[in-house]
Amino acid sequence: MPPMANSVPEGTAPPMMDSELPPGHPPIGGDPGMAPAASSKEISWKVPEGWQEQSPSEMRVGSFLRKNNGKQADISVVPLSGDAGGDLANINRWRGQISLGPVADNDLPQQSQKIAPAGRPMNLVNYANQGKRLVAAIYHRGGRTWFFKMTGDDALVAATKPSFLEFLNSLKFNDDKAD
Amino acid sequence: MKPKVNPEAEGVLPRRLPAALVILFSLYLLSALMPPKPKSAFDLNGFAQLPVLNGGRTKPLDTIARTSLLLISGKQSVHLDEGRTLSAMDWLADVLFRPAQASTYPVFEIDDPDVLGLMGIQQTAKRRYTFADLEPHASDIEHQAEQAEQVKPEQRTRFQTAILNMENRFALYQKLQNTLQIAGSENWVGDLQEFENHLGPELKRHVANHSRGSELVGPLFRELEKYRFLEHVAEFYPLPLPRASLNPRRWISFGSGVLARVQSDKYHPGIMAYATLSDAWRNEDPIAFNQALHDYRQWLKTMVPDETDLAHDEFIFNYAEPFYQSMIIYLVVFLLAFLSWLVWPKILNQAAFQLLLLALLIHTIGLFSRMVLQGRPPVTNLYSSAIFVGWVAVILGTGLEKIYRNGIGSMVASVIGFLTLIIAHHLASSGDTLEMMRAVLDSNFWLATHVVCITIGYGSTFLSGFLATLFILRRNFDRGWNEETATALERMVYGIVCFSMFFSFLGTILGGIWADQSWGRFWGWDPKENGALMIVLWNAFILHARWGGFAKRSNLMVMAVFGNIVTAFSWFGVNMLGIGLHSYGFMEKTFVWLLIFAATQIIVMALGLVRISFSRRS
Amino acid sequence: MTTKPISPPDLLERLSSVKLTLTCLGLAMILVVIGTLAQMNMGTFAAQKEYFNSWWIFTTLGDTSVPFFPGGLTIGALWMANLLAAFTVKFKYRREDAGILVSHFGLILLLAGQFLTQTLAHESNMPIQISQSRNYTESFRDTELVLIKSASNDLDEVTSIPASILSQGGEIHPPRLPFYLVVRHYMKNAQLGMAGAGGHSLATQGIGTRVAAQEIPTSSSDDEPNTTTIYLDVRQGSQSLGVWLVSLGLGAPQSFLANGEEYHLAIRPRRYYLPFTLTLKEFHHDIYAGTDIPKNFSSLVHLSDPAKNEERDALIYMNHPLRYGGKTFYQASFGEGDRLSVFQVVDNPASVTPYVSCALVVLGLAIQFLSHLLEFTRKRP
Repeated sequence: MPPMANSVPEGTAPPMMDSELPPGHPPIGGDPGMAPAASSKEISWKVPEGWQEQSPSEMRVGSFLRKNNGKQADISVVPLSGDAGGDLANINRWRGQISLGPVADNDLPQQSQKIAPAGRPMNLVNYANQGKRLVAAIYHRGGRTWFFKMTGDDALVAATKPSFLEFLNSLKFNDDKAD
Repeated sequence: MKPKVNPEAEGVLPRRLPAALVILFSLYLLSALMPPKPKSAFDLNGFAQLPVLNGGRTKPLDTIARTSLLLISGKQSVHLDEGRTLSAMDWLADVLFRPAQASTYPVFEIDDPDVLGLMGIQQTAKRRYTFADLEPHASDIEHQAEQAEQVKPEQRTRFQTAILNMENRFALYQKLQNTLQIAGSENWVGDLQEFENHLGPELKRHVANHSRGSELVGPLFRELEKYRFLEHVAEFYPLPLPRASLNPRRWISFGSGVLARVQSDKYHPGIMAYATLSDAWRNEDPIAFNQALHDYRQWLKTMVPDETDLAHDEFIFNYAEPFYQSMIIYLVVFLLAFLSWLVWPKILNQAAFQLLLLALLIHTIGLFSRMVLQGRPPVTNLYSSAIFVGWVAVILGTGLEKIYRNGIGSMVASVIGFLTLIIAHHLASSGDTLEMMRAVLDSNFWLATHVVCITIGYGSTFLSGFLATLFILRRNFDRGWNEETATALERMVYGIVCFSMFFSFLGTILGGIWADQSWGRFWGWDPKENGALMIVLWNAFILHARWGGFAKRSNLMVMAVFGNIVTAFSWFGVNMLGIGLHSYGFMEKTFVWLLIFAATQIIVMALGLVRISFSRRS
Repeated sequence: MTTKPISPPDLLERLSSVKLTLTCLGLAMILVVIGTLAQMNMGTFAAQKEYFNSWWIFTTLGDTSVPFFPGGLTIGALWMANLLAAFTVKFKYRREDAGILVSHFGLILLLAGQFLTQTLAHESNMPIQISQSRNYTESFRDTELVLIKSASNDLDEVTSIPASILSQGGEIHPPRLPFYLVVRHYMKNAQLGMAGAGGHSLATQGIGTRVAAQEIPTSSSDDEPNTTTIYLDVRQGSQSLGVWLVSLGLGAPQSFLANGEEYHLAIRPRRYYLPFTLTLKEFHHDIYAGTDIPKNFSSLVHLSDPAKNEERDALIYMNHPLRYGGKTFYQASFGEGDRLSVFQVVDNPASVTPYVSCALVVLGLAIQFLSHLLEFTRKRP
């Protein structure tokens, strides 16, 4: 008889699918489905100088305006659940807003920058075209994606970028231990 | 009174045959209990018995060696190019202590041409590749695996499943390399003494002087990182702590043990022991190796006596291979039972039956040893379910043989025993996870009741199906077919179907009760529940058909054979649903075999409906 | 030739026949197979609704839905009729039939109990974070649109509209609100993302101007609920206050002013309010050494029911649920690094039937088969 590894130590056998759980039991651990809905005070920040807080009529999160010499820079904070379609899709849509063509998935690392304000890993993009500039950061946290976006006049947005980064640095989440 | 004429008394030899065979095979089995001969002066057997913690239970290094190699290579030994063979333990020792050497051994079994293509290798007849072949492509492999992981399992392509599988094995190898030492250390004892004398105190000073969380800089940081890496990457935990220790964990990794030196005044004895073993293995110094091993094992006996004993038992279990041995004997039983219908019926029947009992004994010993070694009920995963299904069928078959004494029980028992053990063997070697999960949440009780009942149901349904197959084959092809045998078989099948009905129903509802106790839903139409339900429904169908007069003899047999198909699909098919039918290797092969099996059973059913008679009966 | 009308006794005879039993068993087996296969594509919940908890299974032929196979309810009803008829006219009530009688009676109870469970039972869940209090459970699949107005410092006035009403479109006139709603577009499941150039968003107000929603097929997995999304026109009389994009996928509510009052607008999982409150005090999660495998997990909750004078702590852990107020709270899952505990909440008045019925069936089977066995051994010493 050829030497067969027959009475194999039990370890190598594949487990029954969830044999340890009763039939039909939902998976244990990990993030269960949807993240709980945002409460009003889930996030707070320090408003940089020169930024006017707009009335949060749109969404109870964040909307600011910076005006200078008749030019504007509009800053918004938008949380969406899940991964909101993926970073690439959203970045390409933003590029479309300032009439830039889309980038491909493997070009994304060159077209974006990884930053970590206050230790939180975010994806930062900075595009300009035809007098308009867009600076935005995407942050995945728990079951949600936060979009911090600044658009407007090219020069003004570029000048506001430092305070935008400071703004990102100042973010405080209600349950910060999740970070 | 008619004189007894014994046509078989043609000499002493045939009459003594049963006893002779039993003695012969018993001696063979006892010889299997001898430990493997060491190939060198190193006490590899002793090393193999060292207990460590992995996957939630303590086990001997021998098990780690076998399961890791089996997972990576598909076999429990390594064939080197120059014709030499290494045992699993030899291989592990090299991986642990001589990684440079070990990386030249062809162990990684790669079948998928796309995976090979990723590494720029054209597929040839060669099936196994070395770690050195793979290492330059590590980042590619990891990147591809990362991509593949984000896709849901049932939607992965063949390549994605294969590369994930590859990455798992690759990572396992790397972890093993970095469990007992920093891979590539040349003088591990010296390095550890260096740590003890310089790095450790420096670190202690740093911690005392600086606030928590402040960053370490420069060379101190880099050195420390190496040991932290050891701590985190460890595949198993070799160092037991005294019960009174403050650490909530009973076993810690080697890296943890080294780092613990910072706060305590000496190393854990295992640190220097393993380090000495490491250096001695590399320097080809069996004397130092054996001495350090002996001393450490003495210490372990006082520290963790229970685990040491169990590790010793498991070591024996590993090389004794009870299931392999019983499988051989089942095959012999089958041959003897078959022959007993041709010649020397009484003698061969007796021989077959006695050997069957011997095989059943070994099968039982193996089963109970597994239970003791793991502290679990007998059925915890697909592999152990195959072992148990066989065991149930053999017990029932043995019972039938005892009652009827016509070789049928022995034949069917041996066939099912042999087949299920082969299935188990294949399940083991193509597993896609290394270790079964430990009892989750008090599931031991339910595993002991619900799963065992369902598995008994599988086993008995297969038994009735094979009995029916035997009926059909013999009725069509056996000249010696007679009414007595037919009636006996009919009774057997009917009785076993009743037995199956009971246990499959009981097992199914126990599953429902478990679900209800756990999360409030007795029946959720889950695929696993549905699979069990199918067997219950089919057994009920057979019984009602019989009571309604629709299933006299032949129909009963045909339906019982169909029960084999239902059970096989329920047992294996349900597991395939979650992964989908397109996944690599294991599931694909399983599906093909399932279809082949179903086809054979359909042929038998067709034979059952159509009478082919070669014999001229009046 | 005169045809005899089927008289009731004849009908009962036919209903009690073994042929019908075999037909039911056969149909049930086929149903289980196709239902299980369907689960791969549509998830367990949807398959259960369409195959097992329905009267007929439909398939589309061209443009129409055509029933092609009886659903679980039909087969169950037939089987029940068969059993009842058997008890009425077929079974003999002799001592040797005790096994059959007991097991089939148990089967009747089992089928009836499962039917009751399917119609009456209700499941929801409660994800709760440490030190959070909850007096409601949430549906995993159903959603509701809510309009919230602050009535006082600690009281909100909530108007909630279940998604089933939203999906019908048209106008909705919630009472006590100074506006009415028109659902401009309803999507059972949508993918949200940041808006790009050139998209014509239906939204005129709120985040919908910055966020794009694309309809995607309804979720086939039981783990992923559908991201219900609508474009909602808030109108007063003939004037529109604006069109909002409201979705389960938005991370925060939006708000608007009507008649000087602020209203918050959101879609959230449908809530079922409880007359009592649970507060999660602690959550513990042990794992087996060196693995990720959970050994046990438990939640310590504080139960507060002022109306019944209940103020106590309770421990919920695996196989030890909390039973209160007609509901049972099971420890189902956890997340977010042990700060979130998830309870499965079940409300099932028929929960005891499986135990009773199955015990009867098992007893009946045991009696019957043991008597067979005894008979057999007596004949073959």
